[in-house]
Amino acid sequence: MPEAWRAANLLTKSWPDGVVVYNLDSGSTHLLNPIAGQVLKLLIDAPADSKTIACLLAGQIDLASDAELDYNIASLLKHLDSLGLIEPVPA
Amino acid sequence: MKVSQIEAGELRRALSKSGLRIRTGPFVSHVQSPIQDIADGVQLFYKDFDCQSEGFADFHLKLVRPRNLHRVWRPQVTCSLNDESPFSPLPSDQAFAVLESLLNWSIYTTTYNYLIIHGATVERNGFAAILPAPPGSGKSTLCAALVSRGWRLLTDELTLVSPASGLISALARPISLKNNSIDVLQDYAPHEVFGPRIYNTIKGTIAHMRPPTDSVTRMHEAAVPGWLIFPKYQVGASTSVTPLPKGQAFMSLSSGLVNYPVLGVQGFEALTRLIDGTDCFNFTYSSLDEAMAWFAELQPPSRQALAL
Repeated sequence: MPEAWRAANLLTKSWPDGVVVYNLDSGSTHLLNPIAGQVLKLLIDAPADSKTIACLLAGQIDLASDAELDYNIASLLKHLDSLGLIEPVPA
Repeated sequence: MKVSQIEAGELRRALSKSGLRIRTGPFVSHVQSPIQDIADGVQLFYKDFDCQSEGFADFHLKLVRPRNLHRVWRPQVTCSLNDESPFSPLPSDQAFAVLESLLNWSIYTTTYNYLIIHGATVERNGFAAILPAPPGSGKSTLCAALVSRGWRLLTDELTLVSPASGLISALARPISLKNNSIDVLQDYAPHEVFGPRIYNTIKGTIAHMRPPTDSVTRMHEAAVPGWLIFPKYQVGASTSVTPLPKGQAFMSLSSGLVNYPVLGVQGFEALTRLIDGTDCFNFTYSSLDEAMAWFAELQPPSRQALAL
């Protein structure tokens, strides 16, 4: 797992059912659920590692910052990476 | 000059020689053809449209009967758009349907100053109801029925959204009805004008319904997107309406857009603006009367109502 992630070149639009993301480099469009959209927006604000994202998210939506959350965030980041929406920050 | 002001023989001569420039919404199409079915179709369906014999045209369309052996035993029609042939030759009795396809193709392939939604759009009290849908969903049937009940036809096939203003421009060309929907509409709206049936096309049997004069003469009036309604015709179904969350509406709409990927940021922003301003629904129907009743009760879109 990379140290930190950053968002690709994206435009986003939030609605109650999720966040629509447009990838300016690939031209692809995705609909993310609200939690995934929030994680992506954190990475648009600033690159961060998985632990930091989990802590920030826990604070924002009143979740327990525990191992389960860490695992889910790590899985989500992998998925966002596979969609080309985030990329590892070069060491 | 209106097409209806040209006498039938003169219209055919004009089309077969230098052609006729017909204004359809924001476009001028230069149509040239010696084929009688084309002249008949233009005279019947485009009677209220502005035209001229010379001047600028966005598209140059030519339809001819090729001089080959087919001419004797199975006449064909070939067509070109700006001197290139996008379609294979087709039976010549499909000539008018080919013209309509070519008019759509010309817009599909060369227009980048509008976001193009594959769908019908009708308007009432300044607000447009967009009916995006794949073939077979009943959008043209619904569109024709609404138009026959007083909604203004903006388009049956290609909805043009200006990225700059967010408004929808009208095309108001003939409505293309397919297969069973021809009988349905002829029964439902006997006061409308329908053309002859064209058999064995790639979409089955086609017949066109003439756009009402009012829709043609008001073609310069753009409309505010009000409702985004995804229709689905289902045999025997009672009318069912489900509000569609906006994120899902965006994805449903963007997947069917012709030039969204080409427009890039401009397309994304135009689409988000359109979704923001419209009330979005999935709409399943089988009874046109029930469908008309639901549309008649549509309230102004909530975003627009807040602004009033």
